Amino acid sequence: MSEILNIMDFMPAFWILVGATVVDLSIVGVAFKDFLSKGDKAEEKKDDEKKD
Amino acid sequence: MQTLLVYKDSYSELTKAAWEVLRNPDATMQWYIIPILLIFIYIVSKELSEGHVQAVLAGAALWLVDIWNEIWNSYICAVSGHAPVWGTPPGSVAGVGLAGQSSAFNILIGYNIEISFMFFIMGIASCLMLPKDKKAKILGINNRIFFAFIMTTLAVCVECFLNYANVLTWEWSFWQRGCPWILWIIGYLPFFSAAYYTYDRPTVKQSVKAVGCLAALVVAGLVFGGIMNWI
Repeated sequence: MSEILNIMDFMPAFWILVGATVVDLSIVGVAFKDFLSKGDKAEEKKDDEKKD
Repeated sequence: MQTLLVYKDSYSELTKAAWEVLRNPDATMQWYIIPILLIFIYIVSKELSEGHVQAVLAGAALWLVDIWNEIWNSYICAVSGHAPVWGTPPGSVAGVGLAGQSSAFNILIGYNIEISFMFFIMGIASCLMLPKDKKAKILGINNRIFFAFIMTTLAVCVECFLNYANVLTWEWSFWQRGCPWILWIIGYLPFFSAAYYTYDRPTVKQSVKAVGCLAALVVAGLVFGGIMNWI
Protein backbone atom coordinates (compact mmCIF):
# COMPACT_ATOMS: atom_id res chain seq x y z
CA MET A 1 0.00 0.00 0.00
CA SER A 2 1.14 3.55 -0.68
CA GLU A 3 2.01 6.00 2.07
CA ILE A 4 -0.68 8.36 3.38
CA LEU A 5 -0.28 11.83 1.87
CA ASN A 6 -0.84 15.19 3.57
CA ILE A 7 -2.67 17.75 1.42
CA MET A 8 -0.84 20.62 3.16
CA ASP A 9 2.38 19.41 1.53
CA PHE A 10 0.82 20.09 -1.88
CA MET A 11 -0.55 23.63 -1.78
CA PRO A 12 -1.85 23.83 -5.40
CA ALA A 13 -3.83 20.62 -4.76
CA PHE A 14 -5.03 22.08 -1.46
CA TRP A 15 -6.41 25.15 -3.21
CA ILE A 16 -8.18 23.00 -5.77
CA LEU A 17 -9.77 21.15 -2.87
CA VAL A 18 -10.82 24.44 -1.28
CA GLY A 19 -12.36 25.65 -4.56
CA ALA A 20 -14.18 22.35 -5.08
CA THR A 21 -15.48 22.44 -1.52
CA VAL A 22 -16.85 25.96 -2.05
CA VAL A 23 -18.73 24.82 -5.18
CA ASP A 24 -20.07 21.69 -3.45
CA LEU A 25 -21.21 23.60 -0.38
CA SER A 26 -22.83 26.23 -2.61
CA ILE A 27 -24.94 23.46 -4.17
CA VAL A 28 -25.97 22.33 -0.68
CA GLY A 29 -26.66 25.93 0.35
CA VAL A 30 -28.92 26.66 -2.63
CA ALA A 31 -30.87 23.44 -2.11
CA PHE A 32 -31.24 23.76 1.66
CA LYS A 33 -32.32 27.39 1.38
CA ASP A 34 -35.09 26.18 -0.89
CA PHE A 35 -36.09 23.34 1.44
CA LEU A 36 -36.09 25.57 4.49
CA SER A 37 -37.90 28.50 2.92
CA LYS A 38 -40.67 26.15 1.82
CA GLY A 39 -40.92 24.87 5.37
CA ASP A 40 -41.19 28.39 6.73
CA LYS A 41 -43.85 29.31 4.22
CA ALA A 42 -45.83 26.21 5.11
CA GLU A 43 -45.69 27.15 8.79
CA GLU A 44 -46.72 30.70 8.03
CA LYS A 45 -49.68 29.34 6.06
CA LYS A 46 -50.69 27.12 8.96
CA ASP A 47 -50.45 30.07 11.35
CA ASP A 48 -52.59 32.18 9.01
CA GLU A 49 -55.18 29.41 8.82
CA LYS A 50 -55.27 29.17 12.61
CA LYS A 51 -55.77 32.94 12.91
CA ASP A 52 -58.66 32.80 10.41
CA MET B 1 -8.10 6.01 -26.65
CA GLN B 2 -6.04 9.08 -25.80
CA THR B 3 -5.21 9.62 -22.16
CA LEU B 4 -5.10 13.31 -21.37
CA LEU B 5 -3.81 12.88 -17.83
CA VAL B 6 -0.05 13.05 -18.10
CA TYR B 7 1.87 10.12 -16.61
CA LYS B 8 4.29 11.05 -13.82
CA ASP B 9 6.93 8.90 -12.14
CA SER B 10 5.96 10.52 -8.85
CA TYR B 11 2.52 8.87 -8.93
CA SER B 12 1.85 6.33 -6.20
CA GLU B 13 1.77 2.65 -7.18
CA LEU B 14 -2.03 2.58 -7.02
CA THR B 15 -2.27 5.70 -9.18
CA LYS B 16 0.14 4.26 -11.75
CA ALA B 17 -2.02 1.14 -11.93
CA ALA B 18 -5.20 3.19 -12.32
CA TRP B 19 -3.52 5.32 -14.99
CA GLU B 20 -2.59 2.19 -16.97
CA VAL B 21 -6.26 1.29 -17.43
CA LEU B 22 -7.58 4.85 -17.79
CA ARG B 23 -9.87 5.01 -20.85
CA ASN B 24 -8.29 1.80 -22.09
CA PRO B 25 -11.22 -0.43 -23.17
CA ASP B 26 -8.86 -2.81 -24.97
CA ALA B 27 -7.57 -3.84 -21.57
CA THR B 28 -10.69 -3.63 -19.45
CA MET B 29 -13.96 -3.95 -21.38
CA GLN B 30 -16.25 -6.76 -20.23
CA TRP B 31 -19.59 -8.05 -21.46
CA TYR B 32 -21.50 -7.53 -18.23
CA ILE B 33 -21.62 -3.79 -18.79
CA ILE B 34 -24.01 -4.25 -21.73
CA PRO B 35 -26.80 -5.82 -19.62
CA ILE B 36 -26.21 -3.05 -17.05
CA LEU B 37 -26.65 -0.50 -19.83
CA LEU B 38 -29.92 -2.15 -20.80
CA ILE B 39 -31.13 -2.21 -17.19
CA PHE B 40 -30.33 1.50 -16.98
CA ILE B 41 -32.25 2.18 -20.21
CA TYR B 42 -35.17 0.15 -18.87
CA ILE B 43 -35.29 2.12 -15.61
CA VAL B 44 -35.17 5.50 -17.35
CA SER B 45 -37.74 4.46 -19.99
CA LYS B 46 -40.09 3.08 -17.35
CA GLU B 47 -39.91 6.21 -15.21
CA LEU B 48 -40.44 8.47 -18.21
CA SER B 49 -43.38 6.37 -19.42
CA GLU B 50 -44.95 6.71 -15.95
CA GLY B 51 -44.53 10.47 -16.09
CA HIS B 52 -41.71 10.72 -13.55
CA VAL B 53 -39.74 13.14 -15.68
CA GLN B 54 -38.47 15.12 -12.72
CA ALA B 55 -37.20 11.97 -11.00
CA VAL B 56 -35.11 11.20 -14.09
CA LEU B 57 -33.87 14.79 -14.17
CA ALA B 58 -33.00 14.47 -10.48
CA GLY B 59 -31.00 11.36 -11.36
CA ALA B 60 -29.16 13.42 -13.97
CA ALA B 61 -28.51 16.13 -11.37
CA LEU B 62 -26.98 13.69 -8.89
CA TRP B 63 -24.95 12.09 -11.69
CA LEU B 64 -23.61 15.49 -12.81
CA VAL B 65 -22.60 16.59 -9.30
CA ASP B 66 -20.69 13.32 -8.99
CA ILE B 67 -18.93 13.98 -12.31
CA TRP B 68 -18.00 17.42 -11.01
CA ASN B 69 -16.40 15.76 -7.97
CA GLU B 70 -14.66 13.23 -10.22
CA ILE B 71 -13.23 16.07 -12.30
CA TRP B 72 -11.66 17.90 -9.36
CA ASN B 73 -10.44 14.54 -8.05
CA SER B 74 -8.52 14.17 -11.34
CA TYR B 75 -7.23 17.73 -11.01
CA ILE B 76 -5.82 16.92 -7.55
CA CYS B 77 -4.09 13.83 -8.96
CA ALA B 78 -2.50 15.80 -11.79
CA VAL B 79 -1.54 18.87 -9.75
CA SER B 80 -0.15 16.97 -6.75
CA GLY B 81 1.67 14.50 -9.00
CA HIS B 82 0.95 11.76 -6.47
CA ALA B 83 -2.62 10.49 -6.16
CA PRO B 84 -6.29 11.34 -6.61
CA VAL B 85 -8.37 11.74 -3.46
CA TRP B 86 -10.07 8.46 -4.40
CA GLY B 87 -8.90 5.99 -7.03
CA THR B 88 -10.28 2.92 -8.80
CA PRO B 89 -7.21 0.87 -9.75
CA PRO B 90 -7.48 -2.69 -11.09
CA GLY B 91 -8.49 -5.16 -8.40
CA SER B 92 -5.33 -7.23 -8.50
CA VAL B 93 -3.16 -4.16 -7.89
CA ALA B 94 -5.36 -2.78 -5.12
CA GLY B 95 -4.98 -6.03 -3.21
CA VAL B 96 -8.40 -7.51 -3.89
CA GLY B 97 -6.81 -10.65 -5.22
CA LEU B 98 -8.76 -10.75 -8.46
CA ALA B 99 -6.95 -11.86 -11.56
CA GLY B 100 -9.03 -9.60 -13.78
CA GLN B 101 -10.09 -5.98 -13.66
CA SER B 102 -12.43 -4.33 -11.19
CA SER B 103 -14.11 -2.20 -13.84
CA ALA B 104 -15.18 -2.61 -17.45
CA PHE B 105 -14.20 0.96 -18.29
CA ASN B 106 -12.33 3.62 -16.31
CA ILE B 107 -13.59 7.04 -17.39
CA LEU B 108 -11.48 9.18 -15.05
CA ILE B 109 -8.74 8.30 -12.55
CA GLY B 110 -11.31 7.66 -9.77
CA TYR B 111 -14.42 7.15 -11.87
CA ASN B 112 -15.62 4.13 -13.78
CA ILE B 113 -18.63 3.14 -15.85
CA GLU B 114 -20.18 1.18 -12.98
CA ILE B 115 -20.06 4.24 -10.71
CA SER B 116 -21.62 6.28 -13.50
CA PHE B 117 -24.67 4.02 -13.90
CA MET B 118 -24.92 3.58 -10.14
CA PHE B 119 -25.20 7.29 -9.38
CA PHE B 120 -27.79 8.00 -12.07
CA ILE B 121 -29.97 5.17 -10.79
CA MET B 122 -29.37 6.22 -7.17
CA GLY B 123 -30.61 9.73 -8.00
CA ILE B 124 -33.84 8.37 -9.46
CA ALA B 125 -34.40 5.86 -6.65
CA SER B 126 -33.71 8.37 -3.89
CA CYS B 127 -36.39 10.70 -5.27
CA LEU B 128 -39.01 7.99 -5.74
CA MET B 129 -38.82 7.20 -2.03
CA LEU B 130 -39.54 10.81 -0.98
CA PRO B 131 -42.91 11.74 0.54
CA LYS B 132 -45.20 13.50 -1.95
CA ASP B 133 -45.57 16.49 0.34
CA LYS B 134 -42.28 18.32 0.05
CA LYS B 135 -43.14 20.44 3.08
CA ALA B 136 -43.82 17.50 5.41
CA LYS B 137 -41.58 17.15 8.42
CA ILE B 138 -39.99 14.03 9.87
CA LEU B 139 -38.80 14.30 13.49
CA GLY B 140 -39.29 18.06 13.17
CA ILE B 141 -37.02 18.34 10.11
CA ASN B 142 -38.08 19.07 6.54
CA ASN B 143 -38.32 15.65 4.92
CA ARG B 144 -35.98 16.58 2.05
CA ILE B 145 -33.24 17.50 4.50
CA PHE B 146 -34.03 14.41 6.58
CA PHE B 147 -33.74 12.11 3.56
CA ALA B 148 -30.62 13.89 2.30
CA PHE B 149 -28.98 13.21 5.68
CA ILE B 150 -30.11 9.57 5.79
CA MET B 151 -29.13 8.78 2.19
CA THR B 152 -25.79 10.57 2.60
CA THR B 153 -25.03 8.56 5.73
CA LEU B 154 -25.93 5.26 4.04
CA ALA B 155 -23.85 6.14 0.97
CA VAL B 156 -20.82 6.99 3.14
CA CYS B 157 -21.20 3.63 4.90
CA VAL B 158 -21.15 1.83 1.52
CA GLU B 159 -18.18 3.93 0.42
CA CYS B 160 -16.26 3.02 3.59
CA PHE B 161 -17.00 -0.66 2.90
CA LEU B 162 -15.71 -0.31 -0.68
CA ASN B 163 -12.53 1.23 0.69
CA TYR B 164 -12.24 -1.53 3.29
CA ALA B 165 -12.60 -4.04 0.43
CA ASN B 166 -9.81 -2.25 -1.47
CA VAL B 167 -11.82 -1.54 -4.61
CA LEU B 168 -11.84 2.17 -3.80
CA THR B 169 -8.46 3.46 -2.69
CA TRP B 170 -7.85 6.50 -0.48
CA GLU B 171 -4.32 7.85 -0.10
CA TRP B 172 -4.81 11.29 1.46
CA SER B 173 -4.93 11.75 5.25
CA PHE B 174 -8.06 13.94 5.17
CA TRP B 175 -10.02 11.34 3.18
CA GLN B 176 -9.95 8.19 5.30
CA ARG B 177 -12.39 5.96 7.13
CA GLY B 178 -11.20 7.64 10.34
CA CYS B 179 -12.69 11.00 9.27
CA PRO B 180 -15.83 10.16 7.27
CA TRP B 181 -17.44 13.54 7.94
CA ILE B 182 -15.52 15.08 5.00
CA LEU B 183 -16.93 12.42 2.69
CA TRP B 184 -20.32 13.16 4.21
CA ILE B 185 -20.16 16.92 3.59
CA ILE B 186 -18.49 17.20 0.17
CA GLY B 187 -18.69 13.62 -1.03
CA TYR B 188 -22.40 12.92 -0.80
CA LEU B 189 -24.52 15.69 0.73
CA PRO B 190 -24.26 17.85 -2.45
CA PHE B 191 -25.42 14.86 -4.53
CA PHE B 192 -28.72 14.37 -2.73
CA SER B 193 -29.21 18.11 -2.22
CA ALA B 194 -28.97 18.70 -5.97
CA ALA B 195 -31.22 15.73 -6.76
CA TYR B 196 -33.98 16.80 -4.36
CA TYR B 197 -33.73 20.44 -5.41
CA THR B 198 -34.11 19.43 -9.07
CA TYR B 199 -36.97 17.04 -8.25
CA ASP B 200 -38.89 19.73 -6.36
CA ARG B 201 -38.81 22.45 -9.01
CA PRO B 202 -42.36 23.66 -9.66
CA THR B 203 -42.12 22.87 -13.38
CA VAL B 204 -40.20 20.42 -15.58
CA LYS B 205 -38.71 23.41 -17.38
CA GLN B 206 -37.17 24.63 -14.13
CA SER B 207 -35.81 21.14 -13.41
CA VAL B 208 -34.23 21.12 -16.87
CA LYS B 209 -32.73 24.52 -16.07
CA ALA B 210 -31.19 23.19 -12.84
CA VAL B 211 -29.71 20.20 -14.69
CA GLY B 212 -28.46 22.57 -17.41
CA CYS B 213 -26.56 24.67 -14.85
CA LEU B 214 -24.86 21.55 -13.46
CA ALA B 215 -24.10 20.31 -16.99
CA ALA B 216 -22.46 23.67 -17.79
CA LEU B 217 -20.27 23.31 -14.69
CA VAL B 218 -19.25 19.81 -15.74
CA VAL B 219 -18.54 20.76 -19.36
CA ALA B 220 -16.44 23.73 -18.20
CA GLY B 221 -14.52 21.43 -15.84
CA LEU B 222 -13.92 18.86 -18.57
CA VAL B 223 -12.82 21.42 -21.15
CA PHE B 224 -10.46 23.13 -18.70
CA GLY B 225 -9.12 19.77 -17.50
CA GLY B 226 -8.66 18.64 -21.08
CA ILE B 227 -6.73 21.77 -22.03
CA MET B 228 -4.53 21.42 -18.96
CA ASN B 229 -4.08 17.63 -19.41
CA TRP B 230 -5.45 17.13 -15.91
CA ILE B 231 -8.17 14.55 -16.64
